[in-house]
Amino acid sequence: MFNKILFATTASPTCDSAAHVAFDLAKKYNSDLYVYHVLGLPSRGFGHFAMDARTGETEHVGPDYEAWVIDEIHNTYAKQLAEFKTAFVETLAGVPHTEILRKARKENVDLIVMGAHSREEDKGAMRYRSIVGSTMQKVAKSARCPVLIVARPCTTCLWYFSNIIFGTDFSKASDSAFTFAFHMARHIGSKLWIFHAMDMSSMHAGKVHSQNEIEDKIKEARKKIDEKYVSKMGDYDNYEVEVWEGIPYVEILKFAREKNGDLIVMAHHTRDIDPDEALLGSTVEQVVLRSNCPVASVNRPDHADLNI
Amino acid sequence: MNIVTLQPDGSVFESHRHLSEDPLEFLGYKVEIAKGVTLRAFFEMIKKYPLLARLNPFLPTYLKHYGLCAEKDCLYPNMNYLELDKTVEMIGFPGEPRLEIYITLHGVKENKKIDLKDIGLDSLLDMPLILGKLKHVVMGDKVDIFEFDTVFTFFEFIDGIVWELSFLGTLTGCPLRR
Repeated sequence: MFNKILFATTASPTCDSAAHVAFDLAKKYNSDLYVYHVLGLPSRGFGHFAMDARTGETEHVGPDYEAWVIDEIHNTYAKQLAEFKTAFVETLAGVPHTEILRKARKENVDLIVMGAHSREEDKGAMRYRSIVGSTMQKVAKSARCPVLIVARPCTTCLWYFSNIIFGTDFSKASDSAFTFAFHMARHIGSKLWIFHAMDMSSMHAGKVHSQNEIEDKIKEARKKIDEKYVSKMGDYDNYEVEVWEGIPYVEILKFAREKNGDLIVMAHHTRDIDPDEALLGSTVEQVVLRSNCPVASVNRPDHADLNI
Repeated sequence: MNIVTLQPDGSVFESHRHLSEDPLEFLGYKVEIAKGVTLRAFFEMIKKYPLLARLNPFLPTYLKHYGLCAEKDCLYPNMNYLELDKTVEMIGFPGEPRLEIYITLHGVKENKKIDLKDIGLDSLLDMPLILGKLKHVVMGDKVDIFEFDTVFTFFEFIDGIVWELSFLGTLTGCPLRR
């Protein structure tokens, strides 16, 4: 299913949860695992210095420093790496998101796993600018393969995602997310929840809708789900469809918590926007920041079918 | 004085009188919390004044969750108390200079901050709750932070706590279906 997994890490404690999932998935699917750390440059240009991900200090990049970092990564993940024959620990100096994307393309990986933040969370940024880690944001925006973002300790998805929640806004990008969610659910035999949250904030702009109108819109959304997704699922019957109304990110989080979802799959950005032009959709950002479980952000159809 | 005081049982007083059922006019008042107030008092307050639950879309869910928690001894062993504090942060490079003011709720154990997001509500309800100071962060220097006495409005108090609560929670079970 995942022949190659790229785990982008700073090898700091903020990546521990993502490490747990990355190693577990690679073990389960016998995948080649690339443990990749980009020595971030403090400026945009090329230089001889990099910012140490753990200390934030500027360090001189040279063979000694790189060897030391690789050594540190080996020490950090010693227990997990000991179980792998096909794990590659690599570092490179550069702009983190650019190098992660370059590596993913070069190795043609099926999945990128990373944490939401590379350093300690910035409360102000989260509160007022809804910003998740900028590297994660840029990788999710441009990656051709699905990106699995793990922000919290994941206690239930050791080897399996048993309760997959696919959140859709019916955009083109959501079709790719559905392909990923469905193939994963079918492969594992897990429950697939197809969920749509009707955005009441935009519906209410200048007009108060009656209960009947809301119910009609819910029916309409269910019909759309049947046409767009259910019709493509063949004889797979382990699924349920839910349509709630409210603020999309609030509803999907509430739904995931209620159903004890252990993977949320969403399109990377909402509406039909050119992937190259889109910033990370605000719904995905808010979900990533608050989700108890990993969030798979799927941007394009490449690798969404999981090689099945 | 425009002050409202939260009591341990969740009732809110303004000049020794109970707040009316419509507490919205008091949202701009300074809030004080009486001795013995815990996070449970916050939820009892929301139950007493249901209108306040509309301040945040997550609050109704957390009220429901609160109803399922034990009635006492919801304590987190590695924490002394919960503190709500205010931060004023001046941010320069990179990007445009800006100033942000935000409120955060965190745990404290021997003067060390504890992030709450991985702790369940049922381990926090009976933790003492206090109002902290204003922290002034200048240009990203999070080591030499200035601290000042400050006040919180009733709105800041509710909004700050609920915003932090919206991040709470970890998965607890693995319901494999097949």
